[in-house]
Formats: sequence, structure tokens, C-alpha cells
Amino acid sequence: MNHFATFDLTPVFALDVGGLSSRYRDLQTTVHPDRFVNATDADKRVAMERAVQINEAIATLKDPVRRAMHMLSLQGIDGLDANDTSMPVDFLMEQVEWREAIADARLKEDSERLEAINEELVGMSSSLGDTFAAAYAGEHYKVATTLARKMRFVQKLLEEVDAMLGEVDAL
Amino acid sequence: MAFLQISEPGESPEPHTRRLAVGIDLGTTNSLVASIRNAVPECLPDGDGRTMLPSAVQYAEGGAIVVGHDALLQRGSDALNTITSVKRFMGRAIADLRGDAEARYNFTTPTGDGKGPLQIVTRQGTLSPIEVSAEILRTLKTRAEESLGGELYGAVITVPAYFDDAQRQATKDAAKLAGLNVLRLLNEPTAAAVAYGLDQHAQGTFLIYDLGGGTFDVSILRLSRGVFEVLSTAGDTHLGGDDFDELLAKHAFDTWALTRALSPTGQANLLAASRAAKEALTSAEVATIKVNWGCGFDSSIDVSRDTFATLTQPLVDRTMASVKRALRDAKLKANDIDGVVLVGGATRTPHVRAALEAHFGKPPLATMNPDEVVALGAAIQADQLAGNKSGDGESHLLLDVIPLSLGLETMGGLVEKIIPRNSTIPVAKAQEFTTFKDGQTAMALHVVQGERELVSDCRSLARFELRGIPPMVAGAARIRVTFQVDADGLLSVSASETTSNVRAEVSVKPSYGLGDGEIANMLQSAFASANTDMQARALAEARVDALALSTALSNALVVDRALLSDTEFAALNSQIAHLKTLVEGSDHRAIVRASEALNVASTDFAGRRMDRAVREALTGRDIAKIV
Repeated sequence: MNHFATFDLTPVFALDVGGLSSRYRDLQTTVHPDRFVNATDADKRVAMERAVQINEAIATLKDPVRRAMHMLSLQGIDGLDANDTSMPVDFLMEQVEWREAIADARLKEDSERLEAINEELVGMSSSLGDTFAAAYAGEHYKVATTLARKMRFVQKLLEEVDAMLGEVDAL
Repeated sequence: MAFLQISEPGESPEPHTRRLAVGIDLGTTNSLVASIRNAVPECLPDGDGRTMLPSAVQYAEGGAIVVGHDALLQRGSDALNTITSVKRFMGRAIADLRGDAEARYNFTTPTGDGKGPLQIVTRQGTLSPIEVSAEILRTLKTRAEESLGGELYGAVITVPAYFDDAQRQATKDAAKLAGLNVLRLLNEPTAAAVAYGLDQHAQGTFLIYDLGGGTFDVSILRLSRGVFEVLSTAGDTHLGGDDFDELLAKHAFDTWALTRALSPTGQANLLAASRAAKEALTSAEVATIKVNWGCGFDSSIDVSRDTFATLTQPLVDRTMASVKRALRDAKLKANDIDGVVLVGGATRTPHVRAALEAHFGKPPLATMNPDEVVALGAAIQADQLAGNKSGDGESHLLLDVIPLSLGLETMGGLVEKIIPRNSTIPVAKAQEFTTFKDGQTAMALHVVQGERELVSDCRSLARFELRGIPPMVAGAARIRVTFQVDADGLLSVSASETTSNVRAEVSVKPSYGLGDGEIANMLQSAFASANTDMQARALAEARVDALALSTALSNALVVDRALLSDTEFAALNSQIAHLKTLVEGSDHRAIVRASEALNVASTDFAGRRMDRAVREALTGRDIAKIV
């Protein structure tokens, strides 16, 4: 399933999010189960299937990491292949440092520091995305795969920070 | 612009016949029913002109069931048999009850061991919260039918956005028990957004702050060209105006330094007096809580607005934590929000409004009655789902989300999330698991809902077993578990072993809702009808459904003849003819079977029609862009 094709788009990393959202709304306006409340069971079933598939497509394309992994899968590459997890050592070291910084800020309930880390990670993720886009467009898929994996690491860190910010808010 | 160009046979009602559809806000403290009349949504009043029905049910002596204002009057004198705030008990176990204020009835469980859905013991027997809620819904249904002058076609029932699957399922069961055709369960803040958005022609990003009697929701929506897209939702199903009352009551109780614990009646009177004081404080600077304990003994205390604000600030802070969570999940900042819409009577509280104004830098919007806006939005949605043309001739679309992540228990009591919170519904996800022992032939699946990592911190929705897995070495079996959440936000789960195709299916019902059999039994005992009546009814329903199906399909075959080969066209036509012959007869099972067969046979055709509509939606855009 090519999720770009669902929206009649060519697979590029730098998506026009506004345009995508508006196509998404047009498609859901056509297929959503609410349009078929009084229709036949066959119509209802089909509406449900299509609405699910379109929601899956938008969720995949809106998330940079899932979008990158999906683009790789269109080239027959499994970016999440558990048998191939080699990552550059310096990158892994960097990850350890991030984790320490996050744990430290959490311990001190320092939400400002957490917000700052959040900002930095978002910046990092976006520059990794730019590099991925260029590598993919240049058909350097091996490089692109490593970049997508790095993006995934950064996303995991972002999720941790996000969960901690939620905890600190609730205190 | 036209939102929908595809023809949907069977969707629009006959000319000049409007289907009577209502929206029902089944609230913790008050419930309302609304409908579209003269192209405008309005709340339907009772005989005395009151739109709000207190969500109170008294199981009186002699077998009478009293609902609403009259029941509320009995709360003081007949506390154990007068059920209020039953919404807090929907889909809940005794272990879920919080504090003395909730544990104010005689509770039991079906098995008597304290496990499973809670029940309430009254003088009229042991009742589930579903049955109590059904009484409220039945009263509103009767009101609507008398007011609109006919039988209802269907209803949209609102639920807190933060309701989990068990609570949603219980609400839907209550509606069925009340004899309502549920067109959709709709999230309360989304309903409010529809009413507000259409009334004010609003476009942009809005935050709905919905503080009801017993529940708190916050949803962030993007409103654009008739589409209401929920970006995130957060909340607390144990936080509402009731909690403000309870803190005031506790303050009074502690100040009076009463030596004895209160009787249920004393407790009810104190709560009522505290609520009255809270309401007075929205306009007055000082209010008095006064309780007459009987026997010429009474107590009173003055409470200032500042004292009230200080006492309840922790509650307001909890709502603001949810607001921040919703913003973060939507990846938005406070200044991205174009407006904050207030919903629920408790948002009249001045320091709630002040907290929102401080956070967003602008006063919240209170142009619509916060008590009625949810019911009005539900009425608008009900009218559209019933197939009536909406007032302004334009249709709108709601894209909602699930509030809490859904997952499965894995090794070590950990949760593997399958569908993350804030996923747009409908949604389906499949995940593969494998066996961990050689020759393992069964696998237990435990479905949970929540954000925490440990199973014990999440809500258990259902447990089921997949049996008959062919014995294989550990790790060889492929167990594919599929979660599907429909447009009502209700979950169904199925599992199969893909190398052998062993299947197990559960709609996640048994833990907290009612089984279909239970509903049928309750309905049957309510009608005390003879078996023949039931059969006649089944036959009539089967005929109506079959005729609707064959008419819809015949129309589609005329319009979209080009999508079928001659053989396919002939095959469908002959099946329609066969169904029509059966409708003449009186075998309702044969009619149901043939209808099902026709639905299956026409699914491919339905898919082609849908795909064509999708292509038109996409190309329509491109043309619009070029122009």
C-alpha cells in the first residue's frame, strides 16, 4: 500500500502539510461512515474500510519518522529490520548524553530545561529530515536508512521528554 | 460548495418526510434532549417549560420510578433509593469508586465477590447503572416524542470525550435498553464545537473546555470548510462540578466540627446546600451554606468567593494540566488557539474563567448557554445522520479521535500499545505475536486501555483466549491480533493464527456492558409480550430492512451500471429478485439470510462505487486548483 498514492501524491519527504490535510478532509468527506449511516451493509463495510485506510495513510505521512520509513519500504527497505541495528558509535554516545540530561532535568522537576531539550531535539529531528530528503532524492538509500533510524532515536527521546513534561505539569 | 456529489440510494428519506432525530446530553447532574425544529436546533422543554432534567432516579415505595425534579426532591428523605450522578458509575467496578461521596449507595456485584461491574441495591431490587441511566433516557425519549409528535427515528447520545471503552459501551447499552436507535455516540466537546462552530461560522483552531457535573474534557479542534477535525483530547472522568460542591461541603463540615458522621440524608442536604452556595458565588461575593438537620438543629457558615477559589484551586489546576497535555499532543502553543469555548455549568465559576484567561491571554468565549450547547450540537448531528437535509443546506463532517491508548498485556505485566491515543477514528491496527513455549496451543489475550506502562495501572477491558493453535516450536506461530475502533469509538478485537487460520473474535463487551442476550431479556420482561408478537416484529423488521436494501441496490444498479460486467449485473439483479420473492413469504430467517448474502455479493460493487467517488474527490480538487 502506497500511502502517497492514496492522496494522489508522489513520494517526497518535504510534504506540503496544508495541502495534504485539505486532500485528507476531501477524502474523508467522501468515505466517512457518517455518510453511510442509512446505507446498505455493503456500503457501510466499504466506507469503514476506506476511512480506516485513509486515516492510516494520513497518520503515516504526517509523522516524519513513519513517513521516512514508509518511503524506504517503497524501495523495498525495512528500516526497522531487527537484524541490522548497527549505528555509528558517536551517535550512540550522543544518545547516552541526551538521556542523562533528560533524567537530570526530570529529577530536578525542571520543566524549563525539559522544554529547552525538547526544542533542541525538534531542531535536530528537522535537520535530520532535511538530510534524509536529500539522500532519498539522490537515491542514496543506505545513507537514507541510517538517517531514518537516527530520526527514530530522536523521536523516542522526544516522546520521553513529552511524557515527563506531562508528569511535571500534573504535579 | 457541494460537499457530496455521489448518490447514496436509500440515504435520503422520501420527500416531505422528516425523520425525527434527537440529540441527548446524558449528563452527570442534568440531562437534556434537543432537536432541529424550523431549521434551528433547540432544547425540548418538559410540561413545565424546563429543558434540564435532573439526572436523578428514585425507586419509590410501591414500585413507582420517579425521574428528574421530583426524584431530586426525595434525595434528602430517601437517599439510598434516589440515585444521582449515576454517570459516575457507568462501566465501573466498586474498586473504582473514589471517596465517601461516591460510595453513598449500597453497592454489590453480579458475582457478589466485589469484582466486575458494580450494581446498586435499592428497594426495587439490584440495578445496574445501565438500567438507571435507561430510565433517564426513557423519560427524555417520551418528552421528545410528545413534543415532536411522533416516534423517534434515532438519537445521538453524547459521552465525555475521555470516556473509556467500558463507559461508552455501557452508555450505548443504556440507550438500547431505553428503546432508542443509537445513530452515534458523540463526544461532548465535539458536539459543543459543532453547535458553536455552525452558530458562529467559526473557522480556525478552538479549544473546548468542558467542565460538567462529574467529568472534565478538553478537546482541540480545527474547523475548516465544514470539517470538524479533533486534533487531541484529554480529561478526567472523575472531576467535575460535583467535586467543587464536595470541597465546599467538607469545608463546612470541618468548620462546624460536627462530632458525628452524617447520615445519608444529612450528607445529601449538606451537598445540596453547598451546591446552592457555589452557584450563588458566581454573582455574589459571599454566600451562606445552611443546613437544617431536623429536630430544630441547624448549622450555617458564610463562604467568600476567595475562600471558595482557594479551596478549589487544586481542582482547577488539574484541569489546566489536562489543557497543557492536549496542547502538547496537538503540537500547539497557547497562542495558536483562536478561541476557548466554555461548556458545562461548572464553567460559570469565576476563577475557572480567570485561569483560562491567564493561560490563553484572552477571555474565553461564552456566547452560547454552556448547559445546552452539547445537546444542541448532538441534535444537529442526529439530524444529519438521519439523512435530513440540514438547515443551511450544507453538510458537515466530524473527525474524532480515541482518548486513550489501546493495547495488549505482554510478558511481565507490561502493556504493548497497539493504537495510540488521539488516533483519528475509525481506525484499525494489526500486530503479530508469537508463542513462547514449544507446543503451545493456546494464548490468553488481555486487552487494556490507558497510557501507563504497567497493566495494573491501565483499565482492563477484556480477556479472551485463542485456542487450537497447532503445536509448533516456540516462536513459530504467527498470532495476528486486530484492533478496530469504529466511529462510535467502540473497540472490537479479533485474533487469528495466520499459518492455520484459527480465529477468535471479541467485541470488547462482556466485562462492563450488557450481553445482547441480557438486553433482549430486559426488553422482553419490560414488554411481557407473547412469543408470537416477537416473531411478528422480527418478520416486520426483516421485511423493512430487505426492502430498503433491494431498493437502494436497484437504484445503484441503474446509476452505476457501467461499473459492472453483464454477468455481474445479471447476478445481482437475480439476487434482488430472489430477495423480493422471499419478502412476500413469512420466513424471517430466510429473508435475513438472503439480505446478508446480497450484502456480501454487492460489497465489491460498493467498493467500486466508493473508489470512483474517491477519484472524483481528488480530481475535483485538482480542477479547482487550476481554476
